[in-house]
Amino acid sequence: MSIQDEIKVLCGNGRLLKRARNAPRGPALRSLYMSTLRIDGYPSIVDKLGDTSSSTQTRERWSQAAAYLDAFIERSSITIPPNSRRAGYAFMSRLEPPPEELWDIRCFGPKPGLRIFGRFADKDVFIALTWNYRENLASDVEYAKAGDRAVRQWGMLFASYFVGNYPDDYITGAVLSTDL
Amino acid sequence: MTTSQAQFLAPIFSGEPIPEETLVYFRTRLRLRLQEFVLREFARQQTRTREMGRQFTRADLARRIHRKPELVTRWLGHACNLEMDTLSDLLLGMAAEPDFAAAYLADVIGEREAETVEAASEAERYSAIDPSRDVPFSVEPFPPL
Repeated sequence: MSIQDEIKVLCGNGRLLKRARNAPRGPALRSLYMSTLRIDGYPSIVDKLGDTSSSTQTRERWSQAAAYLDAFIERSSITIPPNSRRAGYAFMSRLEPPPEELWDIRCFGPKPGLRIFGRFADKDVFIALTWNYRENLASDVEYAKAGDRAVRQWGMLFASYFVGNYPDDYITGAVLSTDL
Repeated sequence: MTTSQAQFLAPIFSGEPIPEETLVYFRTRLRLRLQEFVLREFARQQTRTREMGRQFTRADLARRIHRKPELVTRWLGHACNLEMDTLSDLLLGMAAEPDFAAAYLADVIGEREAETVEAASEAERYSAIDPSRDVPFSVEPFPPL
């Protein structure tokens, strides 16, 4: 079964949800799917985006995250770092292994922001798996735990993951921050 | 338009106060689009100067507007809340200034209702990478530096 077929099945059984932009402008250059599964007591990204009962501050954080997710779908350029240790202000970063092939979308506002963890299923097809507030990712240990959670969630969805040459096999319009 | 899009956009067209989350979403979206716009102009300027056998780096841009290169790196790479003055400086450092046009959401989104990722052919997807693609602001650069 191809990865696209797997995604269709997972969308069919409700484990994945394709992100529809809040206010589409221009063509969708990439696809983003969100896992609906909860893990280790963490609500899913879908839960958080749709949560209207949380505090105003939390809802605003997730409104910003929604804008970042939609930007991933429609931006012509995505800034990424040459390596995750020098991610700086890049839009996305591939985390240093282990775990392998784990990426984050780096939502900066409101400070300290939050991170959406996921993997590419194919070029320009991102599966958003888990999330964490940036203030809870202060150390490598906490990052590793968040990574482990995302990888376990991937294992609940897919048997294998996409590997390619960095960065062009992953993202159309990737801009290395060193090229700036 | 999906149900969630319709629900999200309804308050904008209702005439009632717009929810704070919606305001935050569009503020963030504007920051992201402005950052992409500046980044695109920087890339365009690099291409133009390269064609003339020269280089145009972030350090060059920083020097022109009396700022540190690391600040320029931040502004180019990150959707921060750019001050209007900074935006003006960045563009002027590339011998450009923005033009403005409002896109009315009802019109723009109406045009895109039928759009889905599946419907976008590969050709459409890659032609959309073209630097001349519609952006929220356009810029008319002066001759290359």
